[in-house]
Amino acid sequence: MMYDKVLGSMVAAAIGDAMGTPLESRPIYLIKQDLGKGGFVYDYCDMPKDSFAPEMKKGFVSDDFSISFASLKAIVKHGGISLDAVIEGLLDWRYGDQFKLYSSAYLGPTTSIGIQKLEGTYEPTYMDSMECHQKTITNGAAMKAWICGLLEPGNLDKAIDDAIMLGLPTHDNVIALSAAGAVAAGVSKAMVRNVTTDQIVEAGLYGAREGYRRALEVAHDAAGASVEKRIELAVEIGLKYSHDFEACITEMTDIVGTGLFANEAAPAAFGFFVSAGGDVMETIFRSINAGNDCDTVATMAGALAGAFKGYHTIPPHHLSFLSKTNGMDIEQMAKDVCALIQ
Amino acid sequence: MLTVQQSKIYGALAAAAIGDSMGTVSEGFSPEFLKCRYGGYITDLLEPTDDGMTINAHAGMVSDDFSVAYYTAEILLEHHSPMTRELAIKGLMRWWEHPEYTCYVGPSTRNGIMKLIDPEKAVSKASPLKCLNGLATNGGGMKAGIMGVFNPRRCDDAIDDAITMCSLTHNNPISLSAACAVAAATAKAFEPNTGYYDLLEAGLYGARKGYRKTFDTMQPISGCSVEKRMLQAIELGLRCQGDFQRAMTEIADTVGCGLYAYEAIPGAFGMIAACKGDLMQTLYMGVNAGSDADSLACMVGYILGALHGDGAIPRKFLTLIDRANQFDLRKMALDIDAFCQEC
Amino acid sequence: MKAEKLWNVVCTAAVADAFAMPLMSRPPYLIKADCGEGSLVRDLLAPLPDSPGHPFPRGSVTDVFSSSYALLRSTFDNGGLTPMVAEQAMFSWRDGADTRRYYDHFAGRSTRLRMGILDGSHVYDRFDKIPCEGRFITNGGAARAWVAGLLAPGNVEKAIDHAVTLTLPTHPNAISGSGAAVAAAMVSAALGGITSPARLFDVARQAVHTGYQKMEAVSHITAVGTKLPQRMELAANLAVRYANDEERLISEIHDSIGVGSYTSEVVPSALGFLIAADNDLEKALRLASNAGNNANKTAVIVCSVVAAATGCPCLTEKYFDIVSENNTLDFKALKRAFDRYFDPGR
Repeated sequence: MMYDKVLGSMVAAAIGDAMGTPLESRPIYLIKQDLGKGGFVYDYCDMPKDSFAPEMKKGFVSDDFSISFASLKAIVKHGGISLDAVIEGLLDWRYGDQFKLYSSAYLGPTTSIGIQKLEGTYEPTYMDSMECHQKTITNGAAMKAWICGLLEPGNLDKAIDDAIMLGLPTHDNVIALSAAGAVAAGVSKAMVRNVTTDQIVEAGLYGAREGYRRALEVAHDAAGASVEKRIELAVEIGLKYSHDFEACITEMTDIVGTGLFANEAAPAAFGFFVSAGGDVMETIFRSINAGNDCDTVATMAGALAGAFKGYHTIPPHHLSFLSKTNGMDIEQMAKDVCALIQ
Repeated sequence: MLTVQQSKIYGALAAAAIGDSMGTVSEGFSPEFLKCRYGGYITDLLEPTDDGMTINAHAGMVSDDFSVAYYTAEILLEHHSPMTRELAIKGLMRWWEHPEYTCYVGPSTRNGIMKLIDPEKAVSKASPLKCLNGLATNGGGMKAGIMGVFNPRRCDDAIDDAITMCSLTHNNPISLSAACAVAAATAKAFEPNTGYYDLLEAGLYGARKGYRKTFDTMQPISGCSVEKRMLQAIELGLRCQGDFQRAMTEIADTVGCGLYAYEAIPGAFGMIAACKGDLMQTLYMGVNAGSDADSLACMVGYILGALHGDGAIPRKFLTLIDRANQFDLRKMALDIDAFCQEC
Repeated sequence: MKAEKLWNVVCTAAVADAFAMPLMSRPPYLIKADCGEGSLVRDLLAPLPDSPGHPFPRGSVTDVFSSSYALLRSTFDNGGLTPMVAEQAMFSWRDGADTRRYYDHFAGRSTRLRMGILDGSHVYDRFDKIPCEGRFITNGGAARAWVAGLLAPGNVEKAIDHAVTLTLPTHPNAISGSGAAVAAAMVSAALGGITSPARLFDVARQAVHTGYQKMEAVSHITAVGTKLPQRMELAANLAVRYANDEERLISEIHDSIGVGSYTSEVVPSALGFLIAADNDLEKALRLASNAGNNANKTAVIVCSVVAAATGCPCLTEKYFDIVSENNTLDFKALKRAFDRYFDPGR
């Protein structure tokens, strides 16, 4: 059963990323117009010519899943999470053969600076002298924090600590790490038997709160909306519009936001998860059609739903399609992760 | 030793009865008055006072809310049949033989029964008005939970049965929308791995579907949308989590806990949200909000009693309810379970 | 205060009542289908046989204006409004030759019950012994409370006192009192020069609490049921959101706030329509009437405020003649008494 949840989370995260990437940065109405032939998108698409990386083929994941996979690879190799494993994973993603296709296409702004700092090649700017790091409150820490939930099923506190360790090298601020804590704790809770969606949200709220509190001791300060409160708002919207796909994604986009910042994307992920009642594909469809940073939202939301419902609820063709297309043996990775956590 | 499903059925029946009974003591009063009189919240099955809504009642006795459903359940079990219009009538008529409960009959239920007993007289006395807005009451919602119990995990069947059962006396889309909300949420509660979010969503689904199904077949009526009021209540409930007094007051003042179906049913769902689906806490909130407390708490009882099972209910309440009403709810639960297994 | 403006408020209230009368009890979609030929009703109609107004003629008022009329006449005859005058007015309304038919046909259950209690004919039953008031929280007092505003133009505090006084005989509870206070305060403030809907809403926000406390003090009973303040905020939000989509606004307010017999429905809804109408008197009437159910109450509450704020005579000019011809109320006598009261020097 643990394997079913681990594999479910990983596959769902990959589906979310791969399906969401062609839709990224668009608003809902353009998704419908350009990609959905007037309706919504429910499958993988070819990469539009005006996207970040038009050369990438249908079914390719982007930075979200690839960096998570790279991190897991290093963690498995090291027998558990550690700062060394985290850094190795990051650098492998940046330069390693398996992943440099993704890193060269999708290197995010904050991650880029973080890696340069690790390598000692970073040239400080005036922003580094500032106390508060608002510009880096992006979702790059949260987008991979779900793996920490897999590695610590049911142990929310450890999952949160691991998420901070995983995110700190590149996202050194309290808001980004609060979001990471939320996602890690949410997925950790979703790995528990007979858990319910409200319990997963409670865990996410705890993760946001605790992630913020613990990050205050190790990371830079930042000003911005509260991840915890935004999760509550997103869940309210998700419940309200659970029956209405379009109203759900519109309200979520308009009120919570589904953009690059961690205090939008992570709450939106929880909101879509709840609105779909935790159903994997429904969660992903809502996440991707909301547009903006939808691949990241869908990765996180997919990870939650996949852990909650398990691989056996996901249509089987996705696993082989994504593994083959991306050259990543997701099944094996899931087995390796299970071996670690058992 | 009860199975999971048996425990859920027993939980639903017992909690509904307890909600009704506990609520008859506080019905009609305001929360401030109750707090003053009892020096705090009511959390027990108390002896009713003389100046309340009860008639010759004692601690543990249910009122019309639970008893209508109980006798209807009896009829379904005796006939070994799912709900039909004929059996709904029989259930109502059996209930009508019990003055200790029928003394509480509400206006719409009474109207409905009079129509069944003397249809000619009813026709001659019938109002010429197209819209009888005073009848959008919660008498459907209060008993519809039993249809969720008879249709565990089958929300759509619970909705259909609720419409059949309740349209006898509450043939308007507002009352029926509310009834379907309760029936759907109760049915959903039987599903494994279900939490209170799922119940809220199921309730909204039931309200919506119930309204759509009855909108052009039942008597038209003017009144608030049960679904929209439920959304208001759920939002309030979610925001006031962790603050019992505030949640109760906000919901009572804004959405209402009164006689109309667009108050008590949304109020119930708001309270479920506020108390995160905890059975006893939600019952206490419904009871202590006064107004139509017995109906509200009864509905909460079905939904959350089914979710948590009888294990969440203090034993002393189970005994008292059976004794005061001469019920054997545990046996009824086993019978309903056996009946459901055959369906 | 120009007497003309005050008289225009009276006429507008009568017209609003008559306009909404045929639309009572129906929900908005049925008004459109049965009365509006698929859209909003924009003209004065006769009531359909299956509606509460039947068989009164086109232009007839209802319990709202007829009770207000009785109140005005009692007040003018006695030189001012006192608790005794307020109670006497209710009996005049019930028994008077010119107003009896409206009471008999339109008076609501709670009003009739209370009149029975006042005249000693009521047979006490188990519902009477409950020491909390959950039955009479209906909107009869609020519907005629515009009179209180008229009697105290520009003096909101006094208007609220009057509102409590005129509500006490039939709806002695804080919820009804708070609604009456809101209606009265807004008319009073509008007559005193506060004309923007946003500022009137602020007046209402304060009046609802003052009215609640004052009525609680004299009614000696706790009220049970939904209250006004939060619903007023909800209504204002809806009004701002849908101000430019009349049908949507009507439907949202009908569905969420309600326009039924509770004070906590009709008064907040009236406020919502006030904000959306933005001092357009015809729009205010159209919104309130087409929301249906207790449309007569909603329409009188909102239109009396807009008439007080703007002095707009459009409804009076268009319909008052029809109203005065089709009612048994003695408008001429009312005008004479009105003139004596407000403009004695004349």
